Amino acid sequence: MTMTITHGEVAARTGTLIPPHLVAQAEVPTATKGWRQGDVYVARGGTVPVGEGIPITGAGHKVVAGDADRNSHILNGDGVFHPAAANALADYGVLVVPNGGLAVLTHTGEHGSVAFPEGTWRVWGQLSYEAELRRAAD
Amino acid sequence: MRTELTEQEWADVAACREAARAEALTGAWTVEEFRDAAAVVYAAIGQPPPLVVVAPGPQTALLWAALLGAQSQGQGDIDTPLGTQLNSQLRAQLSTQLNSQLSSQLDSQLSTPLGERLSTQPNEWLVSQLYSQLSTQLDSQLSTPLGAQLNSQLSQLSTQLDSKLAPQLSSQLVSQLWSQLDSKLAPQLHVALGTQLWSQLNSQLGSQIAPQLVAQLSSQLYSQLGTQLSTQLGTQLNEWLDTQLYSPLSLQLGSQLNEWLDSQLRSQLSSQLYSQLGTQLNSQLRAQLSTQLNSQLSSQLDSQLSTPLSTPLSTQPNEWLDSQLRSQLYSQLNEQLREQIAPQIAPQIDAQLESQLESQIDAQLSTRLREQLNEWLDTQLYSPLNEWLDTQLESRLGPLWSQRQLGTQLNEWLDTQLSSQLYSQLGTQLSTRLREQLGTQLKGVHWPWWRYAWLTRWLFVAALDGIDPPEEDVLTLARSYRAFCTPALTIPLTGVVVVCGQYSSLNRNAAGGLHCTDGPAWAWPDGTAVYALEGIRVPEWVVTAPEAQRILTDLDNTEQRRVAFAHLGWDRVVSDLGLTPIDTHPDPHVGTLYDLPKEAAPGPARLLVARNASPHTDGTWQTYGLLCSPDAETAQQAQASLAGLRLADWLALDGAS
Repeated sequence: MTMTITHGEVAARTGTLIPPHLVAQAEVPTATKGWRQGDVYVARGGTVPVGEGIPITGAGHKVVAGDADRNSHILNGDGVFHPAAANALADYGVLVVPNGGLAVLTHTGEHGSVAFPEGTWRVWGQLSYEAELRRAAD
Repeated sequence: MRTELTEQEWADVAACREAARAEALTGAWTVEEFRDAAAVVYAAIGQPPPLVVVAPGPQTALLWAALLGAQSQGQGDIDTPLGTQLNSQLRAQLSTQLNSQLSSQLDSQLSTPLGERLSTQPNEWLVSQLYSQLSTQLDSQLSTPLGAQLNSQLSQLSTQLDSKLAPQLSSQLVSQLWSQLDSKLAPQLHVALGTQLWSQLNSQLGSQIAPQLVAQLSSQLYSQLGTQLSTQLGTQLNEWLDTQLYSPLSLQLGSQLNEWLDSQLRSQLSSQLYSQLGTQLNSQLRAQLSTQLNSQLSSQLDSQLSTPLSTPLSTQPNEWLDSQLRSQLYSQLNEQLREQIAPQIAPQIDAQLESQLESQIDAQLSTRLREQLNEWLDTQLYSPLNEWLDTQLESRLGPLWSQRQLGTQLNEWLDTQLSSQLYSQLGTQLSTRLREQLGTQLKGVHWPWWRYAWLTRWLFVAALDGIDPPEEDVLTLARSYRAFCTPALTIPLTGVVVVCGQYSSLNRNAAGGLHCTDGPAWAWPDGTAVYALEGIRVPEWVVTAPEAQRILTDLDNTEQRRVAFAHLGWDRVVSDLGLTPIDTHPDPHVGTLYDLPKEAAPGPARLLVARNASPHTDGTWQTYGLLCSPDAETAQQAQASLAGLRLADWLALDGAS
């Protein structure tokens, strides 16, 4: 059975607001291969790192804290998040969702939540081509 | 037990949220209210009522707090690096604001509590601190500049004496001597003297008269000048101490301190300063006048007396000349010196003293206050209070709060939304703005709107019908704490709270985000300003003088770049940069790819102008200008390059939001 979750439930557990263009009772879309939420990408793949990782239960784990005063991306639900090395160019880390679990990537701004079923997911950020290739900031 | 709210109560929730937001944003709090609230909050952790200092803006508040708390090492307050940084960056601002603004606030706000505190302090503190500082500073700061000043004055005096007194003395001396010699000595001299006196007279005048006269004149002049100057400087210093030190201090620190300072300090300080200055000036004047007058008068007397006197004088007139010349010269020189020295030295010394002692006042005031702020902290204030309030209120309101749906809704309406509106949209931008300017060390600064929203929620819940409210003392503390958290910025320190006063302008868009297209979105009287567009903080030039090229090269933040380009207008961006579209995808979310001239790009890149995947919270669609791979030939390839994916992998993504 495929697990689902609504925007209202995600908002309740993370304390975030539901973007106005979304309906609270509507189901959060579930990705099968990958998704772009604003400037954050999540796609199947990646190697499960050594270590326990950061649980994303409860209010979740802020995987990206926007430094332009908003736009934080919060992983919440089931599973753990393994942050990437601090010097990784664009990689934020790896999300590991257990069997039967469902993790959600929630945004504190306009972007709607997206759910990720069991498996290993790579999480990374948008690039910006400048003097040096680097991660785009928001 | 309540498990749901009525329609009216939900309406009340909305009204409560809006009222709270308006209260915080309009800065409608008064100093009296804040002071009362602060007293209750501080008392909750066993601290006496703090002094409340209202700064004319966040920068000033941080600066004052840094000065007040810089010595509170390791206690969670403004730490020393920030204090040092602020001191160096905003020193000029401080001197003006402390003098003009803090003085009036100290007068109205700090006088009683600070006076009470200071009145209980042991005399040793001021003796050891104020006096040692004053003496050290006076010694190091006054002696050198005053010495230089006196040197300059004496040099001028020497020049003036040389130019003015020499001719006058010469003519008067010659005239008087000739007249007296002619009437009194002529008969004797005519008979007794002969050509053999030529050599004696020359030698006696050179060796006896001139040194004697110089020594006597110098002694008398030194005595008179020393007395006059020390009296004059003493008067000036006394007036200065009255106007610059005692009056401001008494105004600032209140009647109690004034009385105490009067009784404890005035006589000792005056005596000490008089003594120091008098001794310094006397010794300096004596040494310098001695050298200059000796030299000048010796040369004058040598050159002027030898010729006219050489003929008629014998060895007899030494005593007579001494007595006659001395009285006349003393009188003339004294008068002239007094007239010349007084108007020249007085203003300079006055300005010098004012400048020197003004800096001493600043240093002593801040040092004095810092001395009192070493015991307890921001963390000691808020952590225990938060914990205690949580425990108290949860124990009283837990049943209602435990109803998940109701609690969640209330939390969202009152806490999350209110704090988001206040803090996320405003407070964070201010803190980030200040961090940019002042570094990352804002430890101890209290951004209170989170707690303000939290307490608003609790107090609303506590007032609901059917709810057994907490005990009144808990509610009183909660209300007081909420009032304490109403200003946009507070900095609690030991014994004093620095609070940011009312802003001078606040401009927001319909969504509540900071937004102003022709000036600062948020500004304070002290010059603190936050420029923002559509809720995104940007550098000032983005608002006042946006340039497409500079937006590309100077802004490394896509949100900032987006609002900056939008503010400039995408048509103008494409036009100003001379962009030619390479590929336009039918889906505006994929976008249009432009080639960027080399000089317009910070590196090898092309520009993808694309619409956001989701509408903004206000319903509009945001358009971004993104620097993509220079190898992209289509908008889709550009999107894939932004994701760091091959085109096929990017196309395989399930979607975007």
